[in-house]
Amino acid sequence: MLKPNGVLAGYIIHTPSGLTPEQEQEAAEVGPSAVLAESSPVDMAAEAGFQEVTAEEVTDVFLATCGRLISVRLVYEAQLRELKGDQGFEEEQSENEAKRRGILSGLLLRSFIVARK
Amino acid sequence: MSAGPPRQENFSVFEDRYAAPDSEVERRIEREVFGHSSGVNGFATLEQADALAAVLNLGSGSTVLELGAGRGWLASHVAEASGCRLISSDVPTGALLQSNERFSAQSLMGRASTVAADARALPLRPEGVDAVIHSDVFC
Repeated sequence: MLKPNGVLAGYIIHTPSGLTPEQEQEAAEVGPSAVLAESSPVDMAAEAGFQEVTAEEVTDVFLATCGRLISVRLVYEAQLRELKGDQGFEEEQSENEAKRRGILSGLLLRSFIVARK
Repeated sequence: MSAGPPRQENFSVFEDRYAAPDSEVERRIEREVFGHSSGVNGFATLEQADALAAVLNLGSGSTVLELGAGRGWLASHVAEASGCRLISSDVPTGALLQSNERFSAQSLMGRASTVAADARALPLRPEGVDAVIHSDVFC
């Protein structure tokens, strides 16, 4: 649907190359449900025929945002528990904490990818 | 970018997530964490949305398509910044209904549309959009 010379741009959570099967398993557990891919976002865009593919890693902002999300949710813990129930609050908090661990351990990266058709 | 097709349970998760608008406390958290309260569906901050809009270089005659748009905040942000038309696409209908409310509130309805479809099978004509955007969808 993209016009010739059109731009594809967005943020992608992904894994670094060279992970062991065990690390891939851990990344899949702590990251988004489909974080594993067969090649890097840049390679996939290029393989799909896009030109001028660039990537800016923004994992540092991802880590900061994830940490801020965890801490700000704790500030509003009582309201969130009332809204989502104890289990719902704790599950969401655990997911965010797992994600943060994944970033800190180098399993999860986030990049800004821009490419031209 | 997923190595395989999205799993059905993922669709259910997102249908549930977008079944109702965010509560006031969730919007407050979004404002404090992301710099905006727009029904966040990823980790893009306001600064990152601005960076994305800047590289697109769109104008009033352009069209941007957002994939996995959720409540449509990213495309609406780009459209407000550039004056372009926008198409917001996702699978959960709850998200798209909330997108339409957002576009109406932002006076974007005249140049905004929503499409309920899987990103791999969008009912759009070839070469119809100038830019495709996404945030934390292909992961």
